Amino acid sequence: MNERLLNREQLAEIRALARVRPEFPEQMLLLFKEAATEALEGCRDAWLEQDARQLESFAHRLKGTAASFGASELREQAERLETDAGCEASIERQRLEDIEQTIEATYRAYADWLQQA
Amino acid sequence: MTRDQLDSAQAPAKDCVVGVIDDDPVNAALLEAMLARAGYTGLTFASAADFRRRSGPGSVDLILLDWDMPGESGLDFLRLMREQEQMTTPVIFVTHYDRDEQIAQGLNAGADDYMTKPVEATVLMARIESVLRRLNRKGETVESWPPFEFDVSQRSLRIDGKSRHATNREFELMLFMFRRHGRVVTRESLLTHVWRLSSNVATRSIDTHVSRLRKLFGLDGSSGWRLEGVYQKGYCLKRVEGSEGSPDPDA
Repeated sequence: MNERLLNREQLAEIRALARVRPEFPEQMLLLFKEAATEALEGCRDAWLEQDARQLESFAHRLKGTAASFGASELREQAERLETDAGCEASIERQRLEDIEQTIEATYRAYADWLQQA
Repeated sequence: MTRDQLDSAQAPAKDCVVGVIDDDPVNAALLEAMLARAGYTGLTFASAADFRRRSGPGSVDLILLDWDMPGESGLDFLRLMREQEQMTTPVIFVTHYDRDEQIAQGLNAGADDYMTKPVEATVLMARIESVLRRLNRKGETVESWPPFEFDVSQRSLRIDGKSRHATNREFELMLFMFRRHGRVVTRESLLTHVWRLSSNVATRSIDTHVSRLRKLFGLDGSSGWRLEGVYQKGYCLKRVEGSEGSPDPDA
């Protein structure tokens, strides 16, 4: 398990909840992918429109999704994006691509963890 | 509730419905699963508007409220509900906003407690139980809505001071409705908390019992209380206006 991407304690929580709801870990994976992708799309649109406030808002949403899922690295990236957008700092498009890659890597790491569990 | 208890199995169903208002589906699912494991019935809502449309404050016993949501924020929703709509349902903020001034703002707007995400299940349950304890039914064993008196520990009922026999189910159903009088109680909630059945079980038993309560205990209005059906939702127990019973102590 890649601890840089996924928080061990949060995975333990999800595993514990699976004792009552066996389908829960898979449900979380699907919800994460959908919510994170949607928030990233919002960030992209806001970046294109140079709307710092919207970008901050979508980055905040992404941070929340990442935190609830235990996606440590994604949470940090989203938090930095939120902070920078809040300060109206210049933001390179590459950062959004990096976030997309982190979402994919987190998804794969979680799917691997599911298979091993 | 300890971590071991939470880990071991699902707790027995509790007589409490918790609304989760959160636009983040991941967090909402997490909270709802935590609630289910602890024996609470969790209902999730994607926004304040969704909550108003599908439910309303009277249909839940406690609300877990996110702050940052599209449209109406959790803070605006809470202020409005407290100030204009006189909502007394306990509310716990569950949010990523963690600055001291934000916590103070949330509590000053009328929240009963405040937690920052991500939440830990044992802490969340302890906070919920603490809030419910503070606001709960005064710790009395006799609960009274004149002319009805329920002795919860003895499982006995008095109406107008006279002892009346009620079956366990009738007693539980009446007590459940009186504790929520004035609010719409869904059939799902009755099935879960009174019948202890999965809410997707179809049963006519509720209608039969309601009909009996009306006749046997005067919940057709003759006692000063009327148990009404609410189309496509459930039931609502109302005090009959102008009834001669003692004033409603909760009004």
